[in-house]
Amino acid sequence: MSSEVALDIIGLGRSFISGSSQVEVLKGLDLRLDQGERVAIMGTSGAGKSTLLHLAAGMDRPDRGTVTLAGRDLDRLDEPALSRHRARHVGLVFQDFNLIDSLTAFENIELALWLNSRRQASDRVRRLARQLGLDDLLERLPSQLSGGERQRVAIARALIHKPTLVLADEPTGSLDEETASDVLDLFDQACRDTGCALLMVTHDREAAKICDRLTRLHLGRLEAA
Amino acid sequence: MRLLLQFSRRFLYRHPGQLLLALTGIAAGVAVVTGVLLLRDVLLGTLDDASSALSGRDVVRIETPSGTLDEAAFVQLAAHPSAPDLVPVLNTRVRIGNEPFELLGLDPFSLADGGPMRVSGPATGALLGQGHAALVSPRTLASLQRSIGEAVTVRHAGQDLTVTLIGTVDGGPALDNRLIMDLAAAQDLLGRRGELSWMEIDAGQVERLETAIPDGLRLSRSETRRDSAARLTQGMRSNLTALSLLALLVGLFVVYSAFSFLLVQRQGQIGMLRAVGVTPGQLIRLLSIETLMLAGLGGLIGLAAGLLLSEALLGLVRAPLAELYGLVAGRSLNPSLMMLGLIWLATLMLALISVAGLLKRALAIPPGQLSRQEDAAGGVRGWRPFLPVMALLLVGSGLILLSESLPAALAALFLLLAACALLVPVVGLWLLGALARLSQRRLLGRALGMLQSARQRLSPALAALSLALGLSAGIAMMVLGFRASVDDWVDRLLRAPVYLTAQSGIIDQGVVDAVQDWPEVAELSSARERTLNDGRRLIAYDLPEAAWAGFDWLAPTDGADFAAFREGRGVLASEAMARRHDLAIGQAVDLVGPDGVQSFPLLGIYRDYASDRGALALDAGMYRRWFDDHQRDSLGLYFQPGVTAIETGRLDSLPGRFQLTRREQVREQTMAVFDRTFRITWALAVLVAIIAVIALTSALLALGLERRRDYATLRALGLPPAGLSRWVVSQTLGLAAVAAVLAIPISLLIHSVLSLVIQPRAFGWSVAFSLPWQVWLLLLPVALVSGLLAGLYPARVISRRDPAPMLRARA
Repeated sequence: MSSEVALDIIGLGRSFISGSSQVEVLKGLDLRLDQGERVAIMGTSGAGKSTLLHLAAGMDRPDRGTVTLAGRDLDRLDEPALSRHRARHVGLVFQDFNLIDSLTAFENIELALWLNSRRQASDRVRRLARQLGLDDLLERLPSQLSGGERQRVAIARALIHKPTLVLADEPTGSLDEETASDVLDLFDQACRDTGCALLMVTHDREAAKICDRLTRLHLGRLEAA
Repeated sequence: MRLLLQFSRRFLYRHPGQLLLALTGIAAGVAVVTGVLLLRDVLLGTLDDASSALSGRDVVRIETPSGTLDEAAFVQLAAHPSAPDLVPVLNTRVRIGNEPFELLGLDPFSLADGGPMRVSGPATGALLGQGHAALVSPRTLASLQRSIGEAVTVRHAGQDLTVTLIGTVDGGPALDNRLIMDLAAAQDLLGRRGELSWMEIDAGQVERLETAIPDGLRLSRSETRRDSAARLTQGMRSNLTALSLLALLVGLFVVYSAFSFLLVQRQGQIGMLRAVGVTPGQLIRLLSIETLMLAGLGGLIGLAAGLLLSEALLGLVRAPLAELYGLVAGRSLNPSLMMLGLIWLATLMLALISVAGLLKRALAIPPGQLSRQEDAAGGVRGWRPFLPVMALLLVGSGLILLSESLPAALAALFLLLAACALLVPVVGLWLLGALARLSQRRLLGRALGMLQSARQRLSPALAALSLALGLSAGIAMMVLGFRASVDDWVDRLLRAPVYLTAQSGIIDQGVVDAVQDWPEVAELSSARERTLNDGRRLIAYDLPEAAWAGFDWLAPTDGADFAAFREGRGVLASEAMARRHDLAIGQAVDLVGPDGVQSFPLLGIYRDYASDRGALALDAGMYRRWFDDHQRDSLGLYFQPGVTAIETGRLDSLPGRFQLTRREQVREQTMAVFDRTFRITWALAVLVAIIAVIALTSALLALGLERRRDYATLRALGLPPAGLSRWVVSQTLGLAAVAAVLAIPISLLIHSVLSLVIQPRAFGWSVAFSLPWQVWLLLLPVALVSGLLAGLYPARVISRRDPAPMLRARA
C-alpha cells in the first residue's frame, strides 16, 4: 500500500435488517482516493451514501471488505484505537453542521485539536477562522450564528487538525443557493491549502464541481457519472 | 384518544428501563414518606395497652401517682358489694437480649374463658400450675426463636431471671414483645410480693365503683393514656415529621426528573403528533393520564415498600421508645386503608403538580420539531427569578420569629429549604460555569461547559442532591452537637464514683442507713421520682455539695441558692419544665401533695436532657416530710479520701437484690441510649440520599438522550467510548462537587434550625450551639461517591450508543 493513498476501500459490503428482510445497501464497493484527491459521490436517497461515509470514517463496521485509511486497515483496530485514528486522520462535515450548542465557535473548532492532544491551538484556530471569514464570530454560540456561518465553523473544525481525509455529507444541503456557493468556495480553498483528500456525498451538482472526480452510487456499487 | 394512549403504552412497553427508573423514583419517595407516617402512627398508638388488646374492650385503670399500688387496695375494692370484675396487674420493663419487653403479671382467672380478658385455650389455665411461666404472642415466640416449653433469660434491674414460655396468646401487635405471667409468679420473679402496678375495669362498669375508690387512687381512661403517649413521643414524632417533609421534597424532585426524562425521550414524537394535528388539550390529557398511571403504579409499589420500610424503622425506634419513654412498641403495624389511600391520592396530586411545568414545556414543542434542545443562552438575569426565593425566606424567617409553636417551626424549615431548592440551581450552575472556566482546556472543563445549556434538566437533580447532602450533614452536625452537650451534661451531673440501684426499683430507708455506714462511703446523694396528680414529674434530691456542683445553671447563671434548696425553701425546674410551663425565677410553683397544695418559689432552672417532659426538683428532706415517702430510686456513693472502690461482698449484707454501677458505666449506658435514639435519623438521611442519587441518575439519562447528537458528534470527531464515559462521569462528579459545596450552607441552616428552634420547641431543652465542621470534610468524598454512582449507568448507556444514526441529517 502506497503512503500516497488516503483511502482504499475494497469489496465493501453492508446490509441492514429492515422488518423481516435484509437489505443489502453496499454490494462489494471499491473506491480509492489518493492524497489530495477529491471525489464526489451522488446517488438517490437510500442508496447508501451516508453508510459509505460512516464506514469510511470507521463509525460503522462492514459485513465484508476492507477499509484502509491513512495506511491502517480499520477492521484491525479496536474501538479506542479506531477513535484515535479517526481523530487524527479524518475531518467530518455534516449537512446539519452538528456543532455542539454549548460551546462557542472557537471551542467547537478547537475541539478537534484537543481530541488530538495538540497544544498552542489558539493561533492556529484564529488563522483558519480568518481564512474562513469567522474572525468576529469566534466567541458566539452556534445558536447565535446563521446557517452559512455554522457550516463554516464546521468546515474549520474538520480542517483544523490537517486530516488526511475530509468526509463531507451534503455540506450544502441545509443552505440557500447563495450561501452554499460562498461556503463551497471557502471549503474548496481551505481543502487545497491543507492538501487533504475529500470524499463528498451530495445531491448538488454545483457542490460536486469542486471535486476532481464524480461517481454515482447505484445498486450498492460505484459507477462513473 | 385511544390511539394516543396506544402511543403512550407502546412507548413505555418498548422502554422498560426508563419505565423502571420512573417507577423506582416515585416508589422510593412514596416509600420513605409512607414509612415515616406509619411509624408516627405507631408512636401515637403504642400505649394502647396489652390488656385492652386481650379484652377487646376499653379499659379504665385504677392507679396511684407513684405507679406502685398495695395489693390490699385490690382486696378492699374486690370485696365491695357492687364491685365489677377487677383485673390486678403488675407491670415492668425487662430486656431479652437487646430487645425491650414488657412483663405483665395478670390474674389467670381473668384470662380464662368467661373472665374479663376473654382469652381461650388451655395455656391460660396452665399458668396457674407453673412457676415462672409466661405466654407470648406467636410473632414474639418466632422473634425469640424459641419453642413452647423453652426458657428465656430476662434481664431486669441488672439481674438475669429465667422464664419458661408455655404457650401463645393472640392479640395483634399490642401483644408483641409482652410476656404475660400469672400475677403471683410475676411478683415472686421480680421480688415485688404484695405489689401491683394498677387494676383494670371495663370502662362500662366504672360508674359502679367510682364512689368506692379509696383516697390516693385515681382513674386513668384509655384516651388520657393515649394523649399521654402522644405528649411523651411528641419530640420524636416532630423529628420524624421534619425528616419526612425533607424526604417528600426530595421525592418531588425525583418525580420531576423521572417524568422529565420520559418527556425528553419523546420530544420528537410529540412534535410529530402536534404536526399531524393533535391539539394541545389532547396532548395535556394524554400526558396527564400517563402521569397518573405511572404515579398510581409507582405509588402502589411505594406503599408496599413503605410498609416494609416502616417495620424496619420500627425496629430502630423500639429500643429508644422503651429507654426514653417506657413504651414497648409492637413488632408490626396496623396501617389503616384510609391512610394508605390518602397517601396514594396525595402521590397522584403531587405528581401532577410536579410535572405541571413539564406539561407546559411539552406544549411549547413546535409542531414538526423532532428534537429540541434547551436554550444555550446564559444564566438567570435580573432579580425577578429571585422573588419567590426572597418570599419563601421572608415567610420562613417570619414564622420562626413570630410564632413559638413547633408546627410553625417545621413549616418554616420546609419553606426555608424550598427557598434553598430554588436558589441552589442558580448558584450551582454559576459555580459549575466557574469550575468549567478554571479547567477550560481539559476534559472536565469541556464536559462541565456542556452542562451550562441544560439548566432546566439539571436544576431538580442538583437541588435534590444538594438538599440530601445538606440534610445528612445538617442532621449529623445537630446530632454531634447535641451528643457533645449530652456528654458534657452527663459528665457534670454524675459526680459520685458509684451508683446503687435495687432490682425492685426501690431502696428503703434501712438500706440507705446501711450504705451510709459502709466505711468507704463519705456522703450519699439520692433521687426519688414521682408523678404528681397533675402529671408533672417531681424529683426529690438529697444533694451533698459535690453533687450540687454538677448542675449546669441556665438561670440564675451564677447558680441557685443552695442553702434555700437544702432547707426546702424553694424548688428547681429543669429547662424543659420551665419552658413548657413558662416558669421564671422567683415565680411561685404550686405542688399538689397529700395534704393539699403548697407553693414554692422557683430558685433555679437547670440544664437537663433526661426527659423532654421536664421535672421539678425538691429537697428530699422536705419531700419526705411532706409525702411521707422514705424510699429512693437510686443512691450516689461519694468515697472517703483514698478509697477507689467498694469492697466486694458489701451488697450481700443488704436485704434484697442491689447493683453497683460505676460512673463511667452509667455514662456509657447513657450515651449508648443516645446513639440508639438517633439511629432512625441516620437511616432516614441515608434513604433521602439514595433518592437524590436516583434523581441525579434520571436527570443524567435525560441529558444523555437530549444531547445524544452532541455525544455522537464527539464520538465522530474521535472521542473514544472510554473518553465519552469519562466525559459523562466528569459531569456527574462536577455536579456532585458543586452539590457538596452548596450543601455546606444548607447543612448550617438545617443544623441551626434543628438545634436552636426545633429541639427547644419539640423537647423543651436547648442545645449549646457548636459547629462540628469536621462533618463538612466528609461531604466532598460522600458527594463524589454519590456522583460516581449516579454517573456510571448513564456513562455506560451513552458511550455504548452507536453514533452513526444520530448524525444523519434531520428529515
